[in-house]
Amino acid sequence: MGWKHERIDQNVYSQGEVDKWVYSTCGLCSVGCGCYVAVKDDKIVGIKGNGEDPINRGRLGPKGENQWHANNAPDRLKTPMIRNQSGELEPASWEEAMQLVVDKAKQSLDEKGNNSVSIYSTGQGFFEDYYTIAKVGRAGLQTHLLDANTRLCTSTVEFALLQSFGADGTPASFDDIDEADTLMLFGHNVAESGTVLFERIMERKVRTGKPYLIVVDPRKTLTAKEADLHLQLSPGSNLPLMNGLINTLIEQDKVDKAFVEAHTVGYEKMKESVKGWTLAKTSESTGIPEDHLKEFYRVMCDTPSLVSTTLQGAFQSAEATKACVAINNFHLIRGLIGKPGCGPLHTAGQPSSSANRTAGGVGTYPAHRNPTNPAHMKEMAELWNVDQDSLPAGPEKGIEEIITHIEKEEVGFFWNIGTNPLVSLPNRSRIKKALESVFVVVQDPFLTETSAVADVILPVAMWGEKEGTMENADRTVTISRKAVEPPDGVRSDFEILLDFAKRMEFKDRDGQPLVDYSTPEECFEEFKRITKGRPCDMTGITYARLESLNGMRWPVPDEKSTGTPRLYSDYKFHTTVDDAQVFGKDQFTGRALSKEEFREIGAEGRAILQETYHLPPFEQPNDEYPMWLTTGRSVWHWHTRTKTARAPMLHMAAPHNYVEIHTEDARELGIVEGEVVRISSPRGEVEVPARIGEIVQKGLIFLPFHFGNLEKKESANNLTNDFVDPISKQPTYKQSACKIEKIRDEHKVKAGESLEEIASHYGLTAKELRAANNFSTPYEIEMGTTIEVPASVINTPIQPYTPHR
Amino acid sequence: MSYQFEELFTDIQKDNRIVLDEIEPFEHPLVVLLRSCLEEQEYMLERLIEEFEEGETELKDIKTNCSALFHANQKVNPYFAEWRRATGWIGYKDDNPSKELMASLQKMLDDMQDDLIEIASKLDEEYGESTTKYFIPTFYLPEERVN
Repeated sequence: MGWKHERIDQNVYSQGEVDKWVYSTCGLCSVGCGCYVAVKDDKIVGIKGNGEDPINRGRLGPKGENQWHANNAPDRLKTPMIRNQSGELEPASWEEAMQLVVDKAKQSLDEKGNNSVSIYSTGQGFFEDYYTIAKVGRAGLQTHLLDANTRLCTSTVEFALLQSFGADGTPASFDDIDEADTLMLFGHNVAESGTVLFERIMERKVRTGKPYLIVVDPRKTLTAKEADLHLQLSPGSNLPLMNGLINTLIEQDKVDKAFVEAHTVGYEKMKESVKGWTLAKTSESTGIPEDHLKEFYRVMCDTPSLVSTTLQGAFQSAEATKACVAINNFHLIRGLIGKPGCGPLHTAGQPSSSANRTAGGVGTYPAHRNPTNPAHMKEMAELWNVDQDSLPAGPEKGIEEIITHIEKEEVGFFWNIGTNPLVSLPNRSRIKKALESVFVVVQDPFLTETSAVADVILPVAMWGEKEGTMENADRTVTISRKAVEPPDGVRSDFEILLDFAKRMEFKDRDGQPLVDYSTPEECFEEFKRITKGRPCDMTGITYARLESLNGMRWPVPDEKSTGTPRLYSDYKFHTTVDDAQVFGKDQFTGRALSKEEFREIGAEGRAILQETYHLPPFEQPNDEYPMWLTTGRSVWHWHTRTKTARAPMLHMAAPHNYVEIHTEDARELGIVEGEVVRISSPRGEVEVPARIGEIVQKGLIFLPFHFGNLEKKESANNLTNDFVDPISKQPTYKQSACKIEKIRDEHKVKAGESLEEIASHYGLTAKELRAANNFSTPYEIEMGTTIEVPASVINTPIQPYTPHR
Repeated sequence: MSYQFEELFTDIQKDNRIVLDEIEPFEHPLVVLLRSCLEEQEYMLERLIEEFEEGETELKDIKTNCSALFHANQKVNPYFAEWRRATGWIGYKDDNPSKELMASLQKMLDDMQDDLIEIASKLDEEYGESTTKYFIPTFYLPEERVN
């Protein structure tokens, strides 16, 4: 039911034929497109899509097509660096750098204890990296402080799934999107964040008219423009929207009572929590007109099949986990799960953030083992051949909590792998101050903004220069083969982790090396054994099968299995006490529940319908900061642009930051197109050009978060607050309060000067100057009048993007 | 030992009640969450104090309530810190709490946490690390044995 035709997208810059095409998977977004890397003279010179891969049938997005340029960027780091006593980073040998890393880790362990060492990793590595981080972190360093930028990306996915189904793993897959009558894209601007998946959706829609497309987004995004129904809700009102829908379903008596009775627990409590969310109240709370809501209810309550996808508009918003759980609740009470074309599909941003969760590099233990269940921990201890008492137990700590521990001087060693927190974390000034106070290792191919606080920098191999496996947003495990050797002086994350484990002399219970594999494939084979019998069972996966079958969705329990397109088709959920990945959290406060409390829920293999009581966003516009600020992505860039800024086409398409302001707000404030304005919040400020239009709603501004140069005032995270979701601990980037200020010079009109002349003098048009001063006629200036002139106007064209062909 | 536990839990309860009273006028969403956690602490403290008033107790009688108490407290501190930051950003004015109030609340919350760390240490001594690590959050356990 997927793509009708293949289309091989290709971007190669080579004189003559390439030497070889090497099997790989795109390393940009979470769709996980199959591809081949072009190699000539031992250098990556391009990429083409894999026509056999069912995910993309050869297609590639603009970022994917251009990712290889970064491999050849002239500013690749090719030697480790150490900060000297004068505070300068200077080149060092690997021996010097690794010895310093090990010395500092040991010093911190000795002086401050195990929980003084923190590893903060990524969603862009391989299973093999994450699993090694888990083993080194949990059994070697024995620290509780393992987290990753997946906290900013998909921790809400994990906790929404844990709260409802007892284990991670998104129930539906991309195949279900191909079969759904209705597709709800909830805070998911897939046209820009997962371009190929959006093409896949639209290819079918153009061909068959299906699916009916509902887009829930406060902005008129490229995705929203293709919607049958765009619900342009007010910031922070995701949960009221879902509560209104569920209340309507119940009032219309359209609940699948047989399904609820047989396969769920908690219905009455859930029902009570949505009571009172009438059409009028929901409309008032969400800002969505009642007739739009009625249409939404009609479609959602009657559709025979439904896939609901979510992304950062859900995950990084107020009540993130509750809103995603409400989506799960809706699917459950309509019985739209475990069937073709049905189910929640909570996606991901990064190419392998799901893999980090599955491998245990973040959150829970490998293969969905519960850190609060002694039986699971006993199993882990046996599998790793270590003392059970040495393994840290209990619920995880998120990065914002780790920052608090750093501020309290409880952390002595912070190892930052493949992420750029000085651009990506909220409330940047706080993060910078905290990281300046601790020993920081930065592991990255480039000198990122975070290098400013690094004490050691370890240069690493990039996509195409190493081998390993990833997991995309629909549980598909894929392989990326090594196409070329990394540049001289550069090592892979995996090699660095192995070297660290060896130097630290981590041993198992028999005195043998804790980490005794030496290649990614050996590591994967060990991880496979760890997954046996768990929800993400990968027993039937081998590197060779991944390549020949173009990926497989877990579970793959044996060599005959080709994977599992959708979970819970037997309606057996992971909610028995022995099986559950965690014992859950209080749905309102986020307080971790105990085994006994989880047992009292009585799910025993049934899904859990959770309460979804509404609480307003933690920060809202006020007298001083009257506007909503939301942040997000552009189609042309990826995260903090470490890779995409080094691809000429992508850089040229969107070379600097900007702010989207609604036409009416701009008119009221007298702001002209391209005028550099100051946006400030209680945390800081930026000065960026305005893009005026109606993508944002009135009262809301939008800044892409990709730009973060420390020397410029352009980073969205100068402004954002650092509150987190009570359950997933994911920061709420989407709702901060801010204000817009004009940056103006003054011009005193001289005798005989015309508006046109003045405008021309400042590089403006007369129309712009009139707008900047709210003049309604050309006759409002006279000698001696002081008029305002925008201090700077920058043409900010963003290259248009056609989201489907 | 029972008496010592009872005394410590009673100390926490006193501070807990004061904090609940002090935050009563405020309705910021973070205070709503903070209050929920403090009320949960209150409930668990009452159960635990009752249990210890009756004399020697067994672990099975206190484990669930202890776990809920410690884990609620683990949420209390970040919610309070977030509310304090939020208040600083909004400004200490009008109907918002004063800086002095925030400082005094912080002191009581710190005292509560110190008492809980002491309780965790005593429970750890009595029942052993293999047991306590599964119901007491890591960061309340003795520093020399953090896992």
